[in-house]
Amino acid sequence: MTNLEQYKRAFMLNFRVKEEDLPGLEYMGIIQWDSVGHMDLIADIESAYGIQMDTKDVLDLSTYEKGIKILSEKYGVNFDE
Amino acid sequence: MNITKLTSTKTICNSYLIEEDGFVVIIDPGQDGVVETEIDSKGYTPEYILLTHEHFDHVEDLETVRGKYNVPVVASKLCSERLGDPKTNLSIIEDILSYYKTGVITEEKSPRFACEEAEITFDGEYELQWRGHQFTFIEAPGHSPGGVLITLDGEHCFTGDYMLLNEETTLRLRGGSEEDFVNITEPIINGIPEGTIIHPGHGVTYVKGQEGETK
Repeated sequence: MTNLEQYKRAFMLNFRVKEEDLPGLEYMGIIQWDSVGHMDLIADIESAYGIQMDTKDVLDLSTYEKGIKILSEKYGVNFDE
Repeated sequence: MNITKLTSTKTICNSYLIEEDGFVVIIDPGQDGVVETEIDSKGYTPEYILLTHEHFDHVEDLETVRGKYNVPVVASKLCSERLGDPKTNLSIIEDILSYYKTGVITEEKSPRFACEEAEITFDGEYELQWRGHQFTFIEAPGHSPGGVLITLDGEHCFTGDYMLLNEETTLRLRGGSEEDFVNITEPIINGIPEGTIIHPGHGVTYVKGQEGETK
């Protein structure tokens, strides 16, 4: 599974959304992505890539797209593979 | 018998010491070294560590305390099994959960930790006799799979993250189950007699049925 596939999977499993729902998805934009859902999402993302994110970055990860930017720029996750 | 409540600053989590003639039972070792500090300052001798559930705020100091005093840990089988993984003891989400509780971003990252399994485990119910007192454990899933309610002498109940005063029980953390809570734990909670002193894992102690008069 590619890094992008793992990233999408974390969203789809935690929030029970389809792949086509992911673009534009934002924190508090759906009922499942609240603070509790956010913690589960981060736990899965960190486990998938073997990283421990700074709390500030965890809070900044507020949209599907921002997550890709933060993970690639700050944690070296390659989404182009 | 004396009961002392100790509260960590990190996540405002309560630990308890039950003391009889200088010997103590620890309920949830908690965080920040609060239990160790109290035991050493009073010169107590610990004999057991009892766990209400497996979440990091209640067990972060478990290995330190059990190692220092060489005492057995009593927990439900599921609690014991889930201590050993940061994803099930939830230490993987400690920093962000602490932020949600306190509003403070900590620069230093909290450790993801794993604990050894408990020395004494049980399914269902378990009774422990200690220096003329009786602890009764009953499994109470919902907040976490390994949760228990611990009654002492039929007068006190240590409830972990259930029965927090004026707070709904959190059921959505990883491993939580509203179905288990409604079907299993809520009836147990409802059956706790009025007049029982409730010692929750967060917040104030109170008497069931007299919630307006906190202790």
